[in-house]
Amino acid sequence: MVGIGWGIMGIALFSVLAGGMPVQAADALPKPIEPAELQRTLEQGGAIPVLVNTMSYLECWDHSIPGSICLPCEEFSQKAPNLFPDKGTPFVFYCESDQCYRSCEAATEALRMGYIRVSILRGGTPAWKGAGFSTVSRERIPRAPVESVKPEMLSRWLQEKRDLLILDVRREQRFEGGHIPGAVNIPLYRLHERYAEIPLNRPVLVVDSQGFRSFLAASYLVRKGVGDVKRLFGGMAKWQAFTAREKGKK
Amino acid sequence: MSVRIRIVALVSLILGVWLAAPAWAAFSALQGRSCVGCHDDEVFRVRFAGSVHGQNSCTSCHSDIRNLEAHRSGKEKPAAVRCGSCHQEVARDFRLNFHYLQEDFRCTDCHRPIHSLKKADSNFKLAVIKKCTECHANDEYAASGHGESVIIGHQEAATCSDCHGLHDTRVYHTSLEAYPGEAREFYTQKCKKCHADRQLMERFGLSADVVRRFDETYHGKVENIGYPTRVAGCADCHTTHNILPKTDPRSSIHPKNLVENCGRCHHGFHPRFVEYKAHPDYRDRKNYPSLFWTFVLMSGLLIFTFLFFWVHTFLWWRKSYWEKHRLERLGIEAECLPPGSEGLVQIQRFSMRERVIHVLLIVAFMTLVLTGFPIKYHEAPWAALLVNLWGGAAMAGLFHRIAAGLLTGLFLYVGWLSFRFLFPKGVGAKGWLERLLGPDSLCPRLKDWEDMKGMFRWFFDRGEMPKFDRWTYWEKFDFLAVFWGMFAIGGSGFLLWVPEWSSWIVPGWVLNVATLVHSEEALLAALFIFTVHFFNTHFIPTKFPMDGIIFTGRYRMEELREQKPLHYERLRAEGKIETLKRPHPGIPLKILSGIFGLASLLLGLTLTILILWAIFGG
Repeated sequence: MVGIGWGIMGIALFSVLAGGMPVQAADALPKPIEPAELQRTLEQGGAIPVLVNTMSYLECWDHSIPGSICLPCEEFSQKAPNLFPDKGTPFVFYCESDQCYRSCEAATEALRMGYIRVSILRGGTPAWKGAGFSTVSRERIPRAPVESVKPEMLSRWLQEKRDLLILDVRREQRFEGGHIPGAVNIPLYRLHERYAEIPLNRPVLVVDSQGFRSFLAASYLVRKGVGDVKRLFGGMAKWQAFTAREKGKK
Repeated sequence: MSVRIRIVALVSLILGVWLAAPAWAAFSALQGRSCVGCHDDEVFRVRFAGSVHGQNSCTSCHSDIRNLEAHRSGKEKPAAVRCGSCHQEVARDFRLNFHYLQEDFRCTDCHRPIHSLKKADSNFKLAVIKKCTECHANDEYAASGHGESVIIGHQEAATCSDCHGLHDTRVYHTSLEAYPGEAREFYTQKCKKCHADRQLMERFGLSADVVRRFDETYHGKVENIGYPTRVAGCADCHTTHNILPKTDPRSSIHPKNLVENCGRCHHGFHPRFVEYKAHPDYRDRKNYPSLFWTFVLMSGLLIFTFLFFWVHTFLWWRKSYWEKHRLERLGIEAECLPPGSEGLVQIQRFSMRERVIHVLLIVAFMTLVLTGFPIKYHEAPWAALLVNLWGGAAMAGLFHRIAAGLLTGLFLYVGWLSFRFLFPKGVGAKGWLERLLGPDSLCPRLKDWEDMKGMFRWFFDRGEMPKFDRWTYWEKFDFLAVFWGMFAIGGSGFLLWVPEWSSWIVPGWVLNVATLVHSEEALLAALFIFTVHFFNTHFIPTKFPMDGIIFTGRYRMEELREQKPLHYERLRAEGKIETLKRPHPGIPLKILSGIFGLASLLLGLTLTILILWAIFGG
């Protein structure tokens, strides 16, 4: 009896130890890093991590942390192996918010690809600026007075069949998952290449995911000569909430 | 001067001038005179001089352009202008601005075109609206009181920046976890700043008291004590931009919209729930009669109770102290009973059950006072401290409700015991009236009235102290006051605890009444216990520092004979004395009861001081 008891304990102990080890080899989540911590690392020199701005090229060129490279998260898996063959390269990914975990999966993609030293800047560029540090501009887009349009108004315009070019700047997969009827898709990370596809003489409504990025995209279009540019307040998130409410009323 | 020095001086001069000249030339060239040689756009040549920065040179802002040649050849690229080097405060504010943090706006994104910028026109508030609405459409705002007022030209109405900040525009995004608490706190303070300004409100014909009245409601008190997350702020009911008077059918506070309005936080209520008044004035007899008369009633109750009992207490203390002094002066000491005499034997007065109930009562009561009064007096300097001792307003609220549950349990149990006293098992209703009006009952009877008259006579040296049976009239009052108090404070408390459920029994305005009753009853209970009850048990000169009987449950037979002579005689006559004999309390019990009693005393006195500070401290 006693022997069986010891045996069971031994097996339990072994499995706990053995089971624990594979967990250490692959950290499931990227490590968060605070802005102040990152600033210290950059100042000290030595092993400087690769700062990857995962926003679109336009946004990255407009403002990013000094020393960053621009690599939109949509292109990471395609371009990273050539740029960073060494899987031990230390990365710090960042975007425009604390929601990097949810919105852009560059960090988790990097882990999946086998990079082992992956961090995310907690709070992104806003936190970096909030901590008192500055950003650099390679090519600044002057902000234009772009009006925002609420979902109710857009709904009315669609019913009136107003002449409106709805430009959806979300990623292709997101667009395919559901979009406003009649919208065209030029993802933000390709906008700098494909802006010429947009006619200059039609009213354009820029739509993004949550309303945070359409303003810059719209300002860019104004700079490129589009006459009438507006943006959807709250992006697709607000639009979907609106349509859900409308459906509920019926 | 010698020739050699003169030569050196001359050579130095020539050398100095020759070396400095290019730099000087470049420098003076950069005094703006030659910039327009290349930058000859009309903006720089003509309009800049008439702009707000017209008195500055080009290099005042473009301060990094030092070498004309390097600049011309393109070797020196000018950096972005740092407006903050002159506009320091604005730059400091701007670092908090949502537009900077989230959208990376810079100064010239709003202040454009920068080189021909003119000062904002005389109507600053209108200028703000025009700028913000370049991007932010806000048709709702224009329809409301504030927007309309600004557009007409009133310089005191709220424009965008008055609520949202001018250069430090804060945004609380609904996606953030800290919202809505932070947002509510921030914006409610903005509303209060103007709407509590008496002169400003009078100029616009608005109520100057609405903030004060809001602070007297549950929403206002809890928000003030530091827990805005779960209560309504101004904007929750009045909405953010679409602020219309309640007579306007589009207004969120129009009667027909209230169910939807309140329904954004409250769920599962009966429509009459919305009869609750968000910021009533209990001093207004015409518009809020039920609240007014409740206030009159409760105030009357407090005043009369304290008037009577504080006088009673004072007179008792006076008589007792003078009596003690007289004996002391005459050298008359208390009779020392010889050891072994029967008078020294301990007789039980309170059973173990009664003692435990009383301890729990103290714990529940103290908890309720300590968690409730910071809300009642949320503006007092000690309120925030007390709430933080509990770990925040949410924790204080939790403990308040737990203690309320405990007290309710005790109340029901004692109610049950009272029922059993009147209708004992096996006997039933037979003789219940005799028991009710008998000497063992806590119910007031004629003898109590006689005793009271006798006590007052004794106070004024006009008679002997009355002979009491088991319960004196003040002990009966102590018990019944708590009992009655429970109906008022417990009833109102439960209505307020589950306001949505309450609406199925009573209309919403009853909750306003309940808040007032609960608040005033709490004051009555707390002050009564901490002054009158504590006097009875601690401060009667013969009992000082405390009468431990409620914890030990027993006293000497001699004490029984002296304090409750009729009870003593009755026990003797019924032959029950023997059954009530108990051993002397042991040291552990004595120490415990001493610590607990004195701690309660100190706590109660401290709270009394804090309460009086809050009431009269202003």
